[in-house]
Amino acid sequence: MWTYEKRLQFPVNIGRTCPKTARLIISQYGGPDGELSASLRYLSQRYTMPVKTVGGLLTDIGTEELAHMEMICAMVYQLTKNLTPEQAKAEGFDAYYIDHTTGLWPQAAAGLPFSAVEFQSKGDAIADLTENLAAEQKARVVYENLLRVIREPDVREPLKFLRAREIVHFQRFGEALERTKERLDARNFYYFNPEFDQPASVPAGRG
Amino acid sequence: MEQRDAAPSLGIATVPVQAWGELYGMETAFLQGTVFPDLDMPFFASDPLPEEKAYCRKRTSEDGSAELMQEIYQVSFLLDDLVLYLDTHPDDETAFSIYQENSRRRKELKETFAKRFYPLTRDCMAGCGDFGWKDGEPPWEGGCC
Repeated sequence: MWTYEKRLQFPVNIGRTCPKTARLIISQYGGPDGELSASLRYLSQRYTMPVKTVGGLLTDIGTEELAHMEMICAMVYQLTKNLTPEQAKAEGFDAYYIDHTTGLWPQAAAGLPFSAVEFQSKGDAIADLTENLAAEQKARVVYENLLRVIREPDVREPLKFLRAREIVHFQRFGEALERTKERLDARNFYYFNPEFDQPASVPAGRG
Repeated sequence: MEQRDAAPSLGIATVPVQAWGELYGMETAFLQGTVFPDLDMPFFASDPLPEEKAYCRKRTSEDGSAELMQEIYQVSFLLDDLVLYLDTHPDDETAFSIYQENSRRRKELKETFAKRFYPLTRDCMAGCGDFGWKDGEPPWEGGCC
């Protein structure tokens, strides 16, 4: 169950219509390293995690990613508010405008639609947590690429906040991997898959 | 525990487990995107641009809604960051006591906001005179803050 809170995690107040910037930022909604992908990745992986606290961490980070998705959508929405067809044409937003007007639709900056193919839920704790470490790094790079090209302070503030969160999440996934390793044989972490082969070997109720 | 003191294992990623340390104040934590100075690692392109120096991020309001919302933002974010720390450090009593204290504070602030302006969550409607769920700007409009 989720409950909605009627506020963003970090405020978004963008004063100027700028479809060109919207076109770039939308990647963090529906792009390969975007927030939708992140939330679905973590919220899908958690069910079979052998260590209970790691499942809890995936729920909490997955939930935060939903809040990040809402921030990104708010940015795209505000950047395309009061858009004129002429502006759409002049600033490279015309293809999106033809298909979606100014409605929010998850796609990458280059126009590729959102796809679950962009993330993995492998059913193996080590593989999934390692994927998550990489996912946080890739998202960090997207925010850094955006910060290099965007100069408007009201757009940069939330982007900086979101970038900082990627580093914190990386750290937590790293710690989750350490917590998982503690339950496995340090001489060979790969002897069996704790999510599939021997669930009974992971002490029940601990973690 | 023993494993963490030993040399990192081959063939698998190792990330050091964070030790408890100094925390930022609530306002700084919110702006930096983390309450932990140890995890605050800025990127050169996120340094303030000349045009950002004059940028005023603080919102003000006559009715006090922006100021109250700002407090809710900050205390809520502190809890968002602390809960992830607690997920991987469930036995850290200091972190938990800070969590509890601020959790109580957040509850009070949300109730005050519901009474004076509109409910932020459905639970807050207990303190409203009418069906306030329809009230307030949608968050994506920027709203009061």
